[in-house]
Amino acid sequence: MWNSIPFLPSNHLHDSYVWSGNASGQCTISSVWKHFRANSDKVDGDGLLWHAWPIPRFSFVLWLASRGRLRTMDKLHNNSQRTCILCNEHEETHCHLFFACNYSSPIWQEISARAQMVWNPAPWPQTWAATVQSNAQQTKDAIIHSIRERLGGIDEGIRPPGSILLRLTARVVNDKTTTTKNKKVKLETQTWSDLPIELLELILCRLSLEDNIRSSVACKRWNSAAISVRVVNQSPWLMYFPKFGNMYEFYDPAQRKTYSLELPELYGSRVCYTRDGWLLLYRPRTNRVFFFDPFSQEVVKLPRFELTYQIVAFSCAPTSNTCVVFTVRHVSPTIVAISTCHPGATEWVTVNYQNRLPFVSSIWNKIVFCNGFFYCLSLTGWLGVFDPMERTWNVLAVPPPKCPENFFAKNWWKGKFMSEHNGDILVIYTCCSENPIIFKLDQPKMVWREMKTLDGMTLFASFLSSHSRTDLPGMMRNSVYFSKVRFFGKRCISYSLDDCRYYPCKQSYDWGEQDPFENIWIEPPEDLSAFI
Amino acid sequence: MSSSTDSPTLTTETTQLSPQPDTETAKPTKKITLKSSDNQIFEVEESVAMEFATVKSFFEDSPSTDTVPLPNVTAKPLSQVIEFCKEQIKFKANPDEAQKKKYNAEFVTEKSDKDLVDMIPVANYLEIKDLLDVLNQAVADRIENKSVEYVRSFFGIDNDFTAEEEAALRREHAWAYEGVDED
Repeated sequence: MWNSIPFLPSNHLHDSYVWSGNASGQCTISSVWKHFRANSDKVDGDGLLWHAWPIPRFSFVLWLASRGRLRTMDKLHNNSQRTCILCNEHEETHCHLFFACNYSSPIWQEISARAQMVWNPAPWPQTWAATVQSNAQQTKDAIIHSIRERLGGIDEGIRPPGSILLRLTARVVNDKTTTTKNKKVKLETQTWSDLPIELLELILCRLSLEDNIRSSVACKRWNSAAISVRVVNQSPWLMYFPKFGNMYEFYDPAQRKTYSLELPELYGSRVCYTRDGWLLLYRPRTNRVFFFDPFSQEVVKLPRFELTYQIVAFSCAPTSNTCVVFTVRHVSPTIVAISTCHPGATEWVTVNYQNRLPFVSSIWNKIVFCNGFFYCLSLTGWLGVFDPMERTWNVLAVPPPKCPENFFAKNWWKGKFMSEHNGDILVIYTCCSENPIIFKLDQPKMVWREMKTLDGMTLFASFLSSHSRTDLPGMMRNSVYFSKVRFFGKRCISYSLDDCRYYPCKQSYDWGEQDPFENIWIEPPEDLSAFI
Repeated sequence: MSSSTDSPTLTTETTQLSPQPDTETAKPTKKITLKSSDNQIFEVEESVAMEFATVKSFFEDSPSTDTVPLPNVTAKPLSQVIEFCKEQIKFKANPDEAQKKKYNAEFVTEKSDKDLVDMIPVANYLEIKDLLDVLNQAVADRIENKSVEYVRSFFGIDNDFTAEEEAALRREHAWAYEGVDED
């Protein structure tokens, strides 16, 4: 009975642990893991997807494709847009997008030709099944590799022209053929006397508008490449606020066209500032302060606040969470009251600051937001700086811009404007029919320097906010556009720094007669649908 | 997770304990042979070759090979590209943006126009994005504010416009041709 039991403890041996998880009896982390984890059935094609040297992104995308789970249009909920992005004709499915589309199929033919493969395009599930079963390792590798390249590229949202895609895949296939066939295949050697068009575009897109235009005359290839990457900026529009009624006019100085819109939302309000396509408005009767986008008619309200005629600005579109509204008013020459607010706040925050240097604010906005600070020019040309993050106020020890004596004429304090360009603070001083002077703040040296040229830039000056633009069409460059109203049907006047003259010329430009709330430069709409 | 945090500690300890045998124990760095289209052989350290995305993926596909043929690349631009990548590896190990910027600027200033243009397709073929950015910007800077004729000679372009076509193009944006630098 005792002997029939196979378990016989032997007294002469010590007890020891034995790991039964693998054959050797030695416990290893991997055997423990294999013991714990749930095993599923082996799937077809695993060797194609997860081999020794996979590029994980490609493997993953190919795995999704093998299951038919890439997010092609037919898999998306949105039923409205289901056509293929490449041909815009058929429904976008795996089969169509990668194989049947008249964009994809020539690429496949070219690849198989270059790889010297005999391969008949079939619907994707069959192709996959055939590839899994295929024993011809080389063909399999080449097909899989090119599929990976294609899927990889498309998955990233890049849709290069067919030729680039082809070069990508062809290169992979070429590499394959070189190694596997021991370089028996004669390689097509490219010469680089001409830069490929896609490389040319990479260079041309770094050029300014005038360099781009000159390059486009070099030859026909360059012409089409330069035009395809050319960016011409749009000029801001002048928006006119009517004395009566709800009809608002918009003037495009580049096209010399006027558009109009009915905006009853603005009833009883006066404009304060504009930036990034948004207006800041104030309704004196109710002390309501609000943002308004005239082209989308979107409104963003701010808490009520009594805005006397004082300078006010905001840092960026109210839809951004970093938007700050800032206003400053002098209480005495050495004390200012600064109020700030932001969209979503319940009240305005007002703090009084003492300044070492006198600061008397102008009632017309000479204020810009630049490099994270609000810069305001005082009535006499001193520069106050407010840091909205640290909530500090400082009047800089920069002597005011120097003007010729004859600049102090009637209404001298009105014809001054302030703008910002790429981190530079610019001030424009005008005086009657004298040529205006433009100053730039030399920030390291802390002095104002007169600018003799704007280097192709264009400035748009209006009483409440002024803007700068680069890469505008020829005749608008190196000029300042002023929002002078309705001079013989002209909507604005300009001063050209190249020609040192106003257009039209010989007028007495007395800003005193102009109502500052009558117009403002505003970002034009992206399309003109609001006016149809 | 644990292995990645452990290993750096271990290495520092070893170097502290035995600073001497560093050279003896260090693995001989693997060399990779690149062969240009004009059959010149370049031996580079593996780390340098891995800067070339194209070479890297070549090795991912066929790990056993030791010579990489580069049928689209001639010897001269290749040697310059290798020189650039060697420096970039130093900056990778020891990040210093200011020094890197300075090096990149010097790298392009001392090159001839032709060298720059020749290197662009090589950098593109080998997929060295940093170098391609540096080169494209350098070329853009060199044709900044230059005349059409200068751009043509810079890139060796044959003008295929007729005189009338060219005149019409120039008329369209006459302002853009004023005030260019002397060639």
